[in-house]
Amino acid sequence: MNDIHAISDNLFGFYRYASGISQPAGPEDRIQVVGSPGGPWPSYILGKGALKGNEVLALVNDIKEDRLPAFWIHELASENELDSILAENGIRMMNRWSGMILKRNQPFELKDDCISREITIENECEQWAGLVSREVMNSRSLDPGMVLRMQQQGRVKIFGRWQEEELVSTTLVFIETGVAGIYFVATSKDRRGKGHGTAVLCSAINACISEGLTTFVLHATSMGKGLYNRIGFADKVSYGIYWMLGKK
Amino acid sequence: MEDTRDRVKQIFTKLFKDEAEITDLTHSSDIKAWDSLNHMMLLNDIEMEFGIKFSLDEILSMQRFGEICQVVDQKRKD
Repeated sequence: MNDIHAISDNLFGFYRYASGISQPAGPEDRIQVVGSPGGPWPSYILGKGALKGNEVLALVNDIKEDRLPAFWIHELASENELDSILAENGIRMMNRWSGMILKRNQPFELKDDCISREITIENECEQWAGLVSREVMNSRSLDPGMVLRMQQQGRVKIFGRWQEEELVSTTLVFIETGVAGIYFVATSKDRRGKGHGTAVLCSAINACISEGLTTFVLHATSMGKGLYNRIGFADKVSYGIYWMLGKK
Repeated sequence: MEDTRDRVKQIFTKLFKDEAEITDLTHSSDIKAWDSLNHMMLLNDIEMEFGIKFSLDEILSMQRFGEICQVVDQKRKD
């Protein structure tokens, strides 16, 4: 599997799995919709590859008519007309993610006096979901019950890092077809800049390496890229995150 | 420019309806309603008010009232 496919497939796979609902919505399965209004996971259009102008306009029309969600994550092709057509129709890019990959079979050496480990019990899962909701999810709360169910089904592992018995940092690993996707790397606002995010991430990667996984992917904002580059992740692809202004 | 701050402040007040004083240091974390979606709406309204366009980097980096006014002033001069 090439690196870009590995990165996109895990991203879209995680969103399909978390939302529990997925259906094609465009040409040749390059466009899918996940989630539903009011569901446990936000509803998104997920897309990859170049689209023709008339294909984009058809999707835009469906968004305007509320037949498709207002949020769209698209794997950006090298020459992409998506931005201009979407902008002309009131759909703005509100963020850009870098799809990154790390191939590693040796664990990281971790030396510190804090505890980073996998979370498997309910009350810690609630703390984990609370921290992620505050620091990452912005205007939406993550349902701890949903996270616990995913973890119990075995496709997802969640990790936390504690300092003086307080949960300070989190991450989640989603495993599909031998690739471990990293999500929700988050640190409490007042504990940032002290290496907690790096430590919990490396700890999660080490746990996966001990189970034979050696390919790790993630999708970084500009804020997180430096941390991931320092660990050894390489940029491979970009994603545009689009929103039709004013629609929820 | 003199009227930039007043016009941007009006857009803030209309969108966030926040009674607290808005200063140059007012940060997105200081106003509860100033989340990522309302940030896009805010900047879109500012673009329309002044006939300017923000780049994605500018959209992501401007998180204070003063920073926004500064960038708007720069674009009005260009």
